[in-house]
Amino acid sequence: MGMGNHGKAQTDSELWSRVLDGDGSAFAELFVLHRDRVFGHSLRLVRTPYEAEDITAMVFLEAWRCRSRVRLVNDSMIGWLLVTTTNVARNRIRSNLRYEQLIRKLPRAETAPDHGDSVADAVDQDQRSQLLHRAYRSLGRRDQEIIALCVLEEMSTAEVSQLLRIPPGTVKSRLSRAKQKLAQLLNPQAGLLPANPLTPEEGTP
Amino acid sequence: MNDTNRPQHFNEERSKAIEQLLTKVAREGTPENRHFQDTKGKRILLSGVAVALAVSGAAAVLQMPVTDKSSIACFARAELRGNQFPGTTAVLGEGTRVGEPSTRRNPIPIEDALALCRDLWAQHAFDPASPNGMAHPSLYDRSFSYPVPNPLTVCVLNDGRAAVIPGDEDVCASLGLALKAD
Repeated sequence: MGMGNHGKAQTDSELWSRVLDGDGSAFAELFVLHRDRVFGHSLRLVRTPYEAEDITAMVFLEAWRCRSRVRLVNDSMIGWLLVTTTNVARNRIRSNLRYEQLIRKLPRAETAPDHGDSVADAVDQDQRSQLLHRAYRSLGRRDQEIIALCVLEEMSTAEVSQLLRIPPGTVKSRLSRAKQKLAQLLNPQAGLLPANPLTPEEGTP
Repeated sequence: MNDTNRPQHFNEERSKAIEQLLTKVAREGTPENRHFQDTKGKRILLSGVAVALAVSGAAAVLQMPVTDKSSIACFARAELRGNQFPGTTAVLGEGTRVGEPSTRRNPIPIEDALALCRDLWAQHAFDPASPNGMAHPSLYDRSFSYPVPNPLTVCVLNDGRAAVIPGDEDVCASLGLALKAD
């Protein structure tokens, strides 16, 4: 948790409340707190770190635009940010249009996408990881969302239920279906779950 | 899912720039804060007439400032006949709902005409092929994902209001209007 203006660690609720009062430094603090997890999730959805950084910025701009609808679960904003990350990445064209003026002011030197780097990265990456990435990216929004929250970010069923406003049973069934689809994408001929299934979060209460 | 073999880190320089951007976004009165002002918490009111009226005329100067921010003209295509154009006039009203009386008498100043018209385009409010320039309401895209023409240019009508028109900077002169001065 970051240090606020008052010299002590502040919760997301406290920081967000300050943001709503027009305290820009609190917004920057929230960004620093959650930047890496949002960036990490963005990387699953787009091809380059550069794009993922843009998505991360757009997610926080969306938080401001939709500030009356931001939902904190267990005093944390991360769930809302991750759900929004999925949406922003999938609606990149719309987000680009909306935030073009703001995003283009961000520095580009040294970080501009380099085709050579991308190729080198692609070659370096483990084949299974690439396959998994591709499969994940080709899932529908709901499937990406539920896998990101329950498996990749290890949120509990109860937290996801509260965040998405769906019953816990629906979280579990939706997760189960999403995993099956991912498994089919990874192994289309067999149509079975992979030998090493993803963390079975749906087994928990 | 272990996504990559190599950990990826957020570029520090860009992170600092984003922190500064967000600080300005939340701070009242900054240009970054105003970027959101036109659409957040306010409703865009479109003129009820099918073909909006513009107070136009041959502009004597190439560039003019926008002096009247009470409403703007969003053109669906670069066409101006007399004082009529395909598109709509937009004003902002706090909390006003569709069907409620217009707040024209005390409108909220529109600081970023371009952003407001872009939002209308993104909602598929316009159809350049239709005579009045407006898309049928059933086609409106509430997800803001309809393509926006590029470029759009801000011209100035003779009464000092902004007019956002598809086309490059030459489009203003072609319609006898001034280009908005920065």
